[in-house]
Order: sequence, then structure tokens, then C-alpha cells
Amino acid sequence: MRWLTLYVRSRQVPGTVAAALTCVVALGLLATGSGSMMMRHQLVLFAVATVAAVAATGLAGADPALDRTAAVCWPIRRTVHVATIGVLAIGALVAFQWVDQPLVATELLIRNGIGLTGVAALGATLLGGGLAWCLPMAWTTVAMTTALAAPEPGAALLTWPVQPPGTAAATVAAAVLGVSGTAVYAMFGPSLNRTAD
Amino acid sequence: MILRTELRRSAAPVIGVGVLLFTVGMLYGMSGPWWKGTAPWHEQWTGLAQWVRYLGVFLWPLLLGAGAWHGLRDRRAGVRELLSSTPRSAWRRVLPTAGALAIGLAGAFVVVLVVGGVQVALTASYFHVKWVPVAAVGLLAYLGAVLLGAGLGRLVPSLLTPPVLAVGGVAVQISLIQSGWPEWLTPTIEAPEITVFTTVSVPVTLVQALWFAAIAATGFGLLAANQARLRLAALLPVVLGLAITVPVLSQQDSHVADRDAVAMVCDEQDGRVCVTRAHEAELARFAGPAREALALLAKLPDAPTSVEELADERPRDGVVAVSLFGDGVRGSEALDDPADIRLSVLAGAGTPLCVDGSEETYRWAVTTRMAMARTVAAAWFTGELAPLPYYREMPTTEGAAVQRVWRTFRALPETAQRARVAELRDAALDCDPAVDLLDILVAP
Repeated sequence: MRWLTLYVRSRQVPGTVAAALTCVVALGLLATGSGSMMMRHQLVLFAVATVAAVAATGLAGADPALDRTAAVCWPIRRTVHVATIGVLAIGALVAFQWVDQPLVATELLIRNGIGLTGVAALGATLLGGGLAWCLPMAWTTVAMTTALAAPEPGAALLTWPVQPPGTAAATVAAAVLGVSGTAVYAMFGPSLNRTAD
Repeated sequence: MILRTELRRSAAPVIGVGVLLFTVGMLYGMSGPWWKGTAPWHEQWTGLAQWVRYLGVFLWPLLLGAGAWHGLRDRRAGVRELLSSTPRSAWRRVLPTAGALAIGLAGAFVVVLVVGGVQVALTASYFHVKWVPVAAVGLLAYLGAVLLGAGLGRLVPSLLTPPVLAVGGVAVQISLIQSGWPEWLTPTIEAPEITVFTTVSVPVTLVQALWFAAIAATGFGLLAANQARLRLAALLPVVLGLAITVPVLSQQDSHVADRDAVAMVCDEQDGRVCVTRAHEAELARFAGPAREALALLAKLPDAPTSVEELADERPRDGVVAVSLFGDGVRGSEALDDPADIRLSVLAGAGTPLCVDGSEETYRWAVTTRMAMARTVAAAWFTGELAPLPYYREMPTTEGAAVQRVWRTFRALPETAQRARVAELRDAALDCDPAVDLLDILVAP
């Protein structure tokens, strides 16, 4: 328990979760007030990316190199951390939709939650905790711009975050990214670039 | 010297390459609206400048975040205290950084504009420089976003600042779209507004330039400020900019007609055929089929004598106005096939689709009846029923319905047919949404 408390504090989890949830509520309220179906969709899906991106800042501590020297089993802890972010991303939006009104199929939230969390973990592995947000955010930006330009965007493997439910390629892409992102992060841990402080 | 170091070591190269990859990747990677319509990005200068800005809709929030990442640099390196003890003034230290960011962004913009510009220069018949300020405002806006992000990142040096700012940018962009506040506070341009016949009005471009410069100034100020008083002063440009921009922009139409683009270029030999100056290159392809269609229209009493491309106004007497890129409701691809051009001229007995922009005209039932009437009217001239361009994918039920209408209409005596088509033409030219064109053709 003591370890967990210290870990949570060292990764600035309370602040991160508060920021993520604030973003979710803001985007969710914006979606509720929107007249356009497409905008609602995009906003809710963007909110999932937001949670993953914001929470990913905690995937690295102040000194990743020092962390690695600790005599603890990192892969399990890293996996649990990433999985928690995924659960938070999905859970926050499911909860918002349950309290407010359903805007997007839960299936989509789960798919995007898993996929984008994996992408965020990949970001932490490649770029470090401070820049991990770039990857899920940039990916979602590309997908959202595509969806804005074409009602039925092609290249489902790339634009999976905005594909309709039941698109096999999108589900596969999200699952592969989710699993591989988590696995890569669990194995290698955050980048040794000191992007966090 | 410092500038050269900053160009390599700051976020500038990453931001520049990122913007370049995103924009070029989007432009080439998918068949978005920027390939279609009257102003494709690779064929018209107007389109090149505006489609690049259209793509920025969710890019500038990302730049805000990237700027914030850059603004955290001193804190990350743990040199804030050290630097605050140097005698060199803060703004002089920040200036090369801002310069590097500007150079990175400008480089990306120039490459995109060159990639598009080379293609445009090869095809466009309509040269003008009105697009340059429009593109430049886009660049200024991106720079403003990056600098503001950097300033805010320095103001709130937390790892959470970059992602939260990016989210905030998206939220601002979407609330501006929804709230009816001038959308022109952000650099983006909406797709339906991008046509070659219009241009972003000069006052809007000027006010936008002022606004984005104010944002950049605030960002720079926040980046350089090291006292609370200076930080407060740095907010002044944005507050002033907002006070000027919002009232002015709310009263401005963003797009105004581009008089040079819609000027007509004509081929006068037997039967006048004209296209807009912007589409001068299409004239050779368009003139032949249009003239054939004009000959067929001579069956009408008081027949039209010339064909013009429909730009932004309703047609004049004796002129058939044809839209070469979609009919205003459906389609945005250029008419290529001569048979399609003929049919487009003949559609609705030589009348453009009556679109008044209201919800009503876009209702499926209304557009379908209108399309059926226009198809049958065109068939009366050619003698065979053929679907109009852009309406080939109509469901078969509509196909069967139009066959029925065509048979009923053909059963009428020849003089009645002519009278009814003439009546349809007059009604379509009046463009009264209450009149049902299909009733004119086949009502007993």
C-alpha cells in the first residue's frame, strides 16, 4: 500500500486524473449542446483520446533511469498502469454518457479506449512521459480531420478512431495497437530522454 | 548563431516537419473535398490557399500544445533560475527562439505552397495574387498558436499544460463553430465556402492578420515576461485584439464575389458559349457539346441563344446557365463526358437547379421530384430518357418512377408537350420554391 501511495504521488496521478476528468466533462457538455450528430460523435471520441493523452504524462517518473534500477518487477506494474489508464478512459466516458445522455455506442468507447491507450503507451516508450500525449492526440487529429472531410473516411487501419462500430479493420487496428503498445511499454519502459520532470 | 542553434535544438524543426507531413499527407492521402469543386487545391490559386487553411481546423490546437511543450524547456532543463540571473534581457533571449519557430513554420508553408503552386501554375488559366494574403494569414495564425502555447507553457510549467492546451484548442474551435461567434477568430475556412468564384474579403483578412499578430505578441510577451506585471501587460494585445476583432468580424461576410474570376470568356462563333475566367481552360472542351445542346433547345418558343457557366448569379434572359462542377445540390466533380455536358445544358429545359439555400431545397423528396422533372425535360429534347449527371446513383424505385412520368408525358400531344416544357422553363427560371416542376409536366 505504501509503495502504491508513493508511486501514485511520484507520477502525479491525482492532478492528472483531475485534469483528464475536467477535459472529459468540458468536451462532453460541448457535445451535449451540439446540434450536429457528427460533431457530437467527434467530441466524444476526442474525449477518449484526451484521457489517454493527459494520463500518459504519468507513464514516466522524474528520472526514468533511476526508476529502472529499482528492484521491483516493472513489467507487471507498467502493464497495470497502462490498463488503469485504459479503464479510466473508457470508464469516464461511459459514466458521462450514463449520467447525461448516450451519444456514442459503448463499443466505440471501448475500441478507442484500448487503441488510444496503447498508442499513448507507445508514445511514452518512444518519446518519454512529457511527450507521450503527442501520439494519441496527433493520431486523433488526423482521424478527425479525415472524418470532417469525408463522411465515410477510407483507410480504416489509419482512421480507425472515427470508423463506425462493427468495422472489422478498425477493431483489429485498435486491438493490435492496444496490445502492442502495452507490451512494448511493459518491456522497455518509458524513454530515457528526460522529458518529464 | 543562436538562431542556428535554436533551429536545430528547439521544437521548430519538429513542428515544421509535422505541419508539412500532416498537410501534404492529408492533401495526397485522401480524396477529400480539396480535389473537387470549382477550386481544387492543385488547379486554382484560390483553392490552394484556402484548402491549406481548411486543413488547419484541428491542427492549430495541436500546435498550441507543441508550443507549450517548447515553453517548458527552461523548466525541464532546470535553468530558469540561472537564466533569470543573467543581465541579458529576457526578450532578447527569446527572440531567436521565436524566430526559429517562425522559420520552421514558414518553411513548411512554403513547401506546401510550392508543391501545390507548381501544379496550379501548370493548369490554372486564372492568375491572381489575392490568394497570397489568405495563405499568409494562415501562417501567421499557426505562428500565433505556437507562440501562445509557448507563453502559456512558461506561465504554467506543468507537464499537463501541453495536452490540456491542445484539448482546449479543440474545444474552442468547436464552440466557435457552434456558438455563432465569428468563426474567423480561428484560421480555418469551411469547405462549402471555398469556391473559385469568391475570395476572402479584404477587411476580414486584415482583421484576422491583426488578431493573429496580437495572439503572437501575447505569446511572445508571456514567454519573455519574468514579472507578474509584465505577464499582465503581455495579455494586453489579445484583449485589445478581441475587442476590435469580434465586433468587426461579426458584421463582415467572410467571402465576397471575385469579380475577376467570374468575368466571362466567350466563344462567339454561331451560338455564344462562355465560361468564367477562372475556368477558361475548359472552354474548348465545353463549347462543342454546349453548342449542340443549344441547337436542340431551339425547339422551344423564345429559345435561348447562348450558354454560360453558372457562377454566382441567376441567369439572364436568353442565356442558359450551366454549372460545370456539380449542380449545387449534388456532385462536385467536373463534367468531362461531352454527353454529360449536353445533358447538363438541357436539364430542366436549360435552367439551373433552383437552390435557395433553405432546408426545404435539400429535402430528399423535393430534390427527387425536381430531378425527375429536369430529367424528363432534358429527355424531351434528346428523344431518349437518360439520367442526368450526378443522378446516376438514384435508387431503382426513382428510376421506375421517372420512366412512368416519361411515358405519361410522351402520351401527350406534341403541341402540349412543347407548351408544358416551355412553362417548366419559365417556372424554373422564376425559381419559386412553391411551384412543383413535375406537376407542370404531367398534371392532368
